Amino acid sequence: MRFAIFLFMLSLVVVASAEDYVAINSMDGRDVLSGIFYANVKGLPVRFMPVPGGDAELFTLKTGGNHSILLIQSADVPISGFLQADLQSKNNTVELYPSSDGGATNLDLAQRSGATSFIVVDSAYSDGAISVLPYAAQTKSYVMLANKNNIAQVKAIVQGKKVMIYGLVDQEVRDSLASLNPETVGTGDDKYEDNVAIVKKTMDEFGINRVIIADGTFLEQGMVKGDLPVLLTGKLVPQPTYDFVKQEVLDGKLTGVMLLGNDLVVPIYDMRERIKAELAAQGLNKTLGITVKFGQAMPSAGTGVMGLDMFQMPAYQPKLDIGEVGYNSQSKSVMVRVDNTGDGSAYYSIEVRIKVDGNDYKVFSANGTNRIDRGEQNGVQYPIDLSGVKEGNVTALVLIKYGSSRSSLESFSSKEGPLTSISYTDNSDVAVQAARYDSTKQSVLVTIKNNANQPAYIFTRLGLTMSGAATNITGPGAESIDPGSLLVVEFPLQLSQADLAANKNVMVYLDYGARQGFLNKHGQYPVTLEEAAAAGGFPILIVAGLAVLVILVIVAVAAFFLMRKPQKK
Amino acid sequence: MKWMYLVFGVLLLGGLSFAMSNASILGSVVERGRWLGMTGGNVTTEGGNITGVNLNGSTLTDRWAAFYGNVSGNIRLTDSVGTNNVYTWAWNDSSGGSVCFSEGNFAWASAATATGAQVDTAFALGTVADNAAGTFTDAAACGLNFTNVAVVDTSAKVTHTSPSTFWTCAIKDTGAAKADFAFCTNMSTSTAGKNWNNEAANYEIMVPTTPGLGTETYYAFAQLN
Repeated sequence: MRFAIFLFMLSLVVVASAEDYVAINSMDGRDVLSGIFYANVKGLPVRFMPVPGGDAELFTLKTGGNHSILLIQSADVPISGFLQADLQSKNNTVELYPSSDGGATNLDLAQRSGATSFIVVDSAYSDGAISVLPYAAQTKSYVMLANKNNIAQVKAIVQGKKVMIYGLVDQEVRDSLASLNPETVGTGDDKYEDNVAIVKKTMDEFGINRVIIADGTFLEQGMVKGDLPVLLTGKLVPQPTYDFVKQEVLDGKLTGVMLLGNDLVVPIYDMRERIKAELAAQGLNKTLGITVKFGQAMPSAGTGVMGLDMFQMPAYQPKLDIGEVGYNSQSKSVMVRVDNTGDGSAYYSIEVRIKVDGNDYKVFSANGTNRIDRGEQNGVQYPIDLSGVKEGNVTALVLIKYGSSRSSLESFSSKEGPLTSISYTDNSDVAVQAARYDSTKQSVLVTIKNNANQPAYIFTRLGLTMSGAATNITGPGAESIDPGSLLVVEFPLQLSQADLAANKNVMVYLDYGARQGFLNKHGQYPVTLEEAAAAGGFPILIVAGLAVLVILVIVAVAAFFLMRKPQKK
Repeated sequence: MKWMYLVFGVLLLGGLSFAMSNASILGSVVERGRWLGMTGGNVTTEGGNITGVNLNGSTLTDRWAAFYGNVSGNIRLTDSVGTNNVYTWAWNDSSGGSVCFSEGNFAWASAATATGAQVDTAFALGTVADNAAGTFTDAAACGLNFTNVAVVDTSAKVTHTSPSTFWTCAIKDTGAAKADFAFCTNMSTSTAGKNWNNEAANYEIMVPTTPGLGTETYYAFAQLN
């Protein structure tokens, strides 16, 4: 009897899982990716609600009727609240899969998919997942979004199965999976080099001669089946990507590329023409086709030509701006400030063209690339004496190319306008006064004094030993100090007793200057690392809160006695 | 009794402020925010510089719809200063190309001539006067060119009625389903091309629609010379 009940329950599970279509209705990109990975492992058609522009009615029209649909829908942030009912109204059977945590859903669908092959990528950004999506689809592998926090759960799922690690992942992920002898694709040093590696692997193994080119910031419905590898680029084609495309065209292995939307038409057209010209110079008549998928329409629904169905994804994109361009008549130099306004560090190369009456007067360019940290401002100076230019309109054109790695400059920014004349001498003078570890705040606090009578700008780095290894930590960004004032720079750090013992003295490095971004003076200061008293081990907030409560009680008691009416005798 | 309310109020306020000072925002808030669709990258889902307008409510007959529009001759990034210094070549409509509409991921590398009869079968257009065989009757060659794949001749071409300057050709890849067909024309410059209403246009294309089926989705593709 028990066995019969077991079989009945099992059959219910099988029936419940017998979907023939996967639909995704979630603002969480992890739900969207996981649903696609799941569908591709199972060999099912899949469609996601686009955003912006998600419309349940159009989605249902595209999906059609008489399907058994697994609807993966965010419990908190679905794109439409009408989708399930609309799908059911078209004679579809809908199994609702509510997702309240995109990370957990990725793990759960991995198990439900029954996959025997897995690709592990980093969970922080979408580039890795989009890069491996086609290979995963071709090999019926499920893609795990992993990090150091969930690697134990990931490992439990992929244990004993075929595993690939792609690109940059947490070291804990790499260490944890090492015992499973995973295949590794990409080193994690450069996302474009990693991407080229998986695209080439996909093309070679499955005889594919066309690719989609995208910037990794979105999914489009045409990408989800994984028919074509996705080659990543930026508004500039990174060198590893360019070299790969050129070689594949030369070898006759790549005949055409597909763009989704118009954003990359200019760089890819330029790349194609450059490759064509370079190969023609070698006497070769080879090129590649460019197809731009630019719209969609449903004639019977009277929609007109609409934008494509897309879902935006969190790819890492460096962002640099040109903050200031000027001519310092004191130092006889042109000064350019580059600001890192993105989420992480970046590398850049710069070109400055000084023009008189629109004609090039002097052109400066950088040798190699410079690194700029998040929040940092770099001032670049080039010597030029413009005092001899008596007449004419002096302008400057500044162009920076930048990217996330030294070899891949995938973006650019430029600024052109009249060259402003400024005059100043850098008399800044700062010094480090103290360094203190606050165990309550788990921070090292560095106190810096401006000794001069003009404002100073500083960028701070801290050198110390952590877990036995010499470590340099970058401060929060460039900060200003008023004349004669103190500034406390905070480095959030958790130091163990062993770390504290190893850091009786630390080194503070300062880049500073009198003008924002132009931190051309440098100093390093060995200081004793003091340890703040921790108020008997209680966090300051708790102590302060208790003190406030005591005061309030006293006030209340006093109020009681003061406001109490005299009792009649 | 007022003093009791006062005491209680002061204590409640103090306790509340104490509790709030210890409240913290932890967990996966940051990561989840990053993964939310609206907070992602910089893609635009509009047609952008390549624009299209539906023709007269989209339906010509119950078997044919049409699209016309402009493929901008000025497809540029917003930073024109940088663009001029970063890129050597820029496409414009005088560079030429073709525009196609297809229902799926058409295999462009396998593009070849189609026939009206094949279109009729795939789209179930039936034996009527305005089916594909009765529409694609122009015997002249289309001369479509997809860079590495030339479709120089076809037996499925229709020249649009004047004042339109366009024609549509049907092509197919190796399959026989609806998504294996594409309907194409060569681009015209916006000064030379005229649509059905004698307005400037870079393309105008006719596409078949299966009668009684309200769920067809066409995708628009531009091939850049």
